[in-house]
Amino acid sequence: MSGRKQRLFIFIAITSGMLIALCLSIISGEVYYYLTHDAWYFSEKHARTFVGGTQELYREPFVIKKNTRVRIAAIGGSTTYGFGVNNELAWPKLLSQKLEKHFPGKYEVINLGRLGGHLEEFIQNFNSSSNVYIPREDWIKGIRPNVGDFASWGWKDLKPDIILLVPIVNDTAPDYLYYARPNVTAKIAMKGLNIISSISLANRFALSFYIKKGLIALENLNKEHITDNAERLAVIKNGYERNLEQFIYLWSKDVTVVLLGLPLLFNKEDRGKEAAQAARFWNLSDNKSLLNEVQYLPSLEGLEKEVRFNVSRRYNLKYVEIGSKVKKLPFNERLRFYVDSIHMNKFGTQLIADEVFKLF
Amino acid sequence: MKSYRKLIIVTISTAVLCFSGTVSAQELKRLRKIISDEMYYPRECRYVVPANLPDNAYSEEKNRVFLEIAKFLEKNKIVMLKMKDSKTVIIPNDNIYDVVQLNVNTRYELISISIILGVWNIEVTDEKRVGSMVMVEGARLMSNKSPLYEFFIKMLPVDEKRDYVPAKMRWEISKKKDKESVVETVLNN
Repeated sequence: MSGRKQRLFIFIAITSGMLIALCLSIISGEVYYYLTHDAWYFSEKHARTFVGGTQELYREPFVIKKNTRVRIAAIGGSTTYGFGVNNELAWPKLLSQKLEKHFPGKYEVINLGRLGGHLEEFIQNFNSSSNVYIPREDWIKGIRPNVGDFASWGWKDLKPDIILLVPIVNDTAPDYLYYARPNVTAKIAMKGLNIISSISLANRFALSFYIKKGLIALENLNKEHITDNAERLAVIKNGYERNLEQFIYLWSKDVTVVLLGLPLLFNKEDRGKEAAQAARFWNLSDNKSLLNEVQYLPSLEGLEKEVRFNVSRRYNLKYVEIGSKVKKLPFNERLRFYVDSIHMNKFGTQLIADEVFKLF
Repeated sequence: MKSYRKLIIVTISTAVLCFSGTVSAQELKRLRKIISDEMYYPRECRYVVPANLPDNAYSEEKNRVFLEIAKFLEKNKIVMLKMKDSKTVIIPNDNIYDVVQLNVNTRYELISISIILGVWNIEVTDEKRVGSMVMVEGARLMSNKSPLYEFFIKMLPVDEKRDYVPAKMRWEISKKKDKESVVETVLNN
């Protein structure tokens, strides 16, 4: 065998070997997934796309094509979605009803609030609305929607005239709890995750699921948690400000962006006693998460307010902290506006709608 | 002359009686407010069911009750039940917040559901002073009963049922650092 033929033979043998190894890995991945999850990866993947129940991505259907009315898009997380109240009592719905009563046929309100919705996700949705819910914790780890997870339309196609932007909690709280500083290895793992997430074909196989798991583990092992609280808050503040500016920048100058903040239950002075009282009020036997929240949510709320104020100044935006009077109430009266430490009940959403209405 | 004297005595006695009655009613009202502020009355009466059943944190008997409640909720189209990894998973339907509140984690994964059974309120009927402490007697009452309430009560074991029905109550009010503190006791019902 001549040297050239021998080299070709070796090349074909190695390539075939690699292909066979890849096929075997894919098949083993599928079989292993079936054995451990009692379902094929493909069917599971499809099920994950639609979380179902109350966790549907948008609170109610809307028409993408714009009509003659002034279109208001309420953009935010679960507080805008209306977590904790029926759709009829979500503040965008109440606002819509109030506007219709006072200005018949003039305004249309679309609720774009998403459970766990945060600014980076909003930026993504601008071009193509994502059909999947990715918790912020996973987002921080680099997990993104797969290529096939996007709708054929984006928020830009709604052509809103006014945006009520309510970026609260989801841009800061998960970061505070889970963000860690990556080193070089973690950064490489994150890049790898991004690449795999973007390859549509790869995401059809359980193998990619296991590779992703491996990369996340690798990334987490190579991250250090920021122990200094001030530094941690500074990192979060920078990220929040950067994302907020980036999102505002996406919209043309013809769109009026109004920046809104909503009040959270706990104030800086509140302590474990208030957390225990809230647990009793909601009849929760386990108040661990409330004890945590009373410690960190007020500082994050303060940080967010500062950023919103600065950004509104810089971009000459209308900015209002809605429901500030609730924050001044004694704790036992304040508590009566909430279903948990973040989300308001029907009294709270009515108050928000009334205050937002005053802007029109 | 005698009749005048009688009239004066009756008038004064009536005034004293009315005045003391008013004071007592006002005092009870004040005590009721203290108890309401401290113990958060009126407040919703809720029953918490874990979202994944059985839940290892509870006994077999308790899990059986949870499952029975979950099935009842499914029958009433409040939740859907799905089997996953040999567990029954509760998935709430849309717009059920007037009967059920959802308790989620930061990933918005459902941890438990709180079934709203009605609204607890209180009435106070008597007060007694023991040193610096005030003992108040009265009852807790349930208003705005949910349509689920009657069925729910039938399903609960006797010892648990006590926590969800009206009952005679006693509150001990004492002052600690210029602030009233209240200890609540449910008397036999």
